[in-house]
Amino acid sequence: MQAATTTSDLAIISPLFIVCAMGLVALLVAVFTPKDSFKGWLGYVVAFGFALALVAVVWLWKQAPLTLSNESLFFALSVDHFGLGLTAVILIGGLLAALTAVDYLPSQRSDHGEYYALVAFAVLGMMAMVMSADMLTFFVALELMSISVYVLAGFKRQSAFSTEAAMKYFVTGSFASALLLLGIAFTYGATGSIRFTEIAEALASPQASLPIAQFGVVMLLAAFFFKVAAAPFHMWTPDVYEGAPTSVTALMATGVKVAAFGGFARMFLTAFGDARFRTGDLPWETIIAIVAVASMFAGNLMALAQKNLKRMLAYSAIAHTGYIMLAMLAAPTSGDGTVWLGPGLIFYLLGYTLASIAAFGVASVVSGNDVEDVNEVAYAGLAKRSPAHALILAVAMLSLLGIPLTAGFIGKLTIFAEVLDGSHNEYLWIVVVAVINSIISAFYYLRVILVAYMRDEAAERPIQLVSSRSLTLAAGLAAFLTLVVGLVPSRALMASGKAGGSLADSKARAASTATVNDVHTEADAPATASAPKATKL
Amino acid sequence: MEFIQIVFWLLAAGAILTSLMVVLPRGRNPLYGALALILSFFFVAGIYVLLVAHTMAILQILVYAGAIMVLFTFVIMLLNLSKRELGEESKNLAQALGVGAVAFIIIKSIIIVDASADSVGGDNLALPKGFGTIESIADQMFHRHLLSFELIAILLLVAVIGAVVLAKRTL
Repeated sequence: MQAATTTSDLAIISPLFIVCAMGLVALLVAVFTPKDSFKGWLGYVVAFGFALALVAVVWLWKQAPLTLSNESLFFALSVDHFGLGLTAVILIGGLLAALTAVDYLPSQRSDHGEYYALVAFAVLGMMAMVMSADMLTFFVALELMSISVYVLAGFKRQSAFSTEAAMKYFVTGSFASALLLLGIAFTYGATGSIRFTEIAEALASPQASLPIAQFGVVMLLAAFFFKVAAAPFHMWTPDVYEGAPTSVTALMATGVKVAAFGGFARMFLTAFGDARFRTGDLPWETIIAIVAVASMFAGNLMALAQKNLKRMLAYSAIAHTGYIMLAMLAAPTSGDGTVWLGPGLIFYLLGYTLASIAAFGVASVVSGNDVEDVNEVAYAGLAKRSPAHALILAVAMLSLLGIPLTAGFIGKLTIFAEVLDGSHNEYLWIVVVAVINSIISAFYYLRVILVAYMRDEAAERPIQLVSSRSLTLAAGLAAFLTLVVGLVPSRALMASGKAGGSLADSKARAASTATVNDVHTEADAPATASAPKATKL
Repeated sequence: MEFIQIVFWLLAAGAILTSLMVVLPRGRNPLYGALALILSFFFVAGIYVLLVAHTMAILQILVYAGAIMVLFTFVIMLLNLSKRELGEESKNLAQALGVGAVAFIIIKSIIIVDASADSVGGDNLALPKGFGTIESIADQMFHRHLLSFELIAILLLVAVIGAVVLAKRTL
């Protein structure tokens, strides 16, 4: 596209470098600080690193799509608008989630410096995941993210609840990783490649062995559903969300979900975007449609019965997974089989990230005194005890519900419109189901606001709020941005559309840079260039 | 049937049999399972040799059968679980469903692979020069997949931190 890019490779992967370096700094500094001193300031250090990486991402966004000249980086990463846009969302989520932990962790008697290093490494994994261009990088990045988050989920070491959450997450997550590996192996067996674009090429050729690849796709889908907590694979979600420290749950609900959706959306649309896979005899679109509907109903109906705020948000996360999946159905295809995405997926993820951080931020505030159970009593009458937090909670709930003037509303509207346009009203029924589900969700989201503003039985035994400037700042900023994005969505929508559309370019770019790269590999490593198909692994 | 095919089927049958021995006889000393796992690693290493991946075969034996299995046996012997702690063998519907699903997947994959294995592109399967040597593996690891290699370094660091954070008596 533009071969004249002169940005050096190191500059292109600088966001990854910055986040990694900040993690290492946090780790080393934590070792040399006295044991019982306040470690929260490391949260600011890591948050500063995320902000710095965000600046780098914005700087790169202006020059994207970028081509890496180093061979190994070229094969591993695709730094396009899609990857950069999602990286920005992940960094915003990670920054705010790191700030929520600063005073929350001491209140839970779990103030250890390793927390912030693990957060930085988890975010590093997420960033690499949404930018990965082959299965190997994708898998390693996913494991880096997952293992960091497993440990973080069990970070409240004295709590059996937290340990249970970590254990459950680890066992089910490892199973999902095994399925993912099996899927990768089958795909490699069918196509002889682990690069997304080369898999698509191999599958487009007439002698491709489709049944084996389809078998692999089913495995990959199962792993995907596990990681984003979609309905038949969602059993772990409520327990893990509830048991993990709230600041970790905030990261799980935002960063992990964004990375899983971004990474898998890229994989499916680039490698298996072929019409035979999307609507053929074993179509992943239909599987995703069924799972999306199941997630919406399972999440919303179960959320109705929940008294615990964190548990309710976990079920609401399952329901939102269902809505976001609709965006993957809406991916339009051009005549030559190139697939891209509308603005819906990325915009919705942004809105969901902001609202979730605000909601979990308030959940951290009311879980003071080492209270594990964030039930209704914890936030009943919050409006009288702390009007600012009650307002943040209300904004978060309204955005998750999708009330106009919030980011959640624009996100839902964009996705629904995309599905109707993209499928020529073939998926009208699924939009109707989604709207019905949004109405169901009003019951439990509005009840939270009702309890926070109207009820006041906690007056006789009030729960100590975690008083924290950084926590209030993070949650308040998230709520404020939710409103800003909801009121003036045009810039965010345009950026999301550009990011989604850049998926279509990846094929074209692979073709245009192939010649450059061939020269490069022959000059550098004749051994690998001679038979690239058989030596991928 | 060629000689190499006979060797393959012997190795494959051995690998499957020993893998089953790892999980099937429940309720007895887990050390037997660990020992069966070592045997299974050797059979898989044999299959690697047949695939001309000699380095992988040696690494498999050195790393898995050697180092990792020593860890396994150490942990099992340190814990020294009694029969009561290991728990009764439970048979319920969920387990039956799980076994059924696994059997279905295995049969389905065999059918699919058998039906379409011939269609996998012929000339792509030719081995490049130097395949399976340490040199070519090093080239893959430190050149082609350098970024993944570096990420794995961070991953191992995270695993170490995780072990310390979760298991150390006082943090």
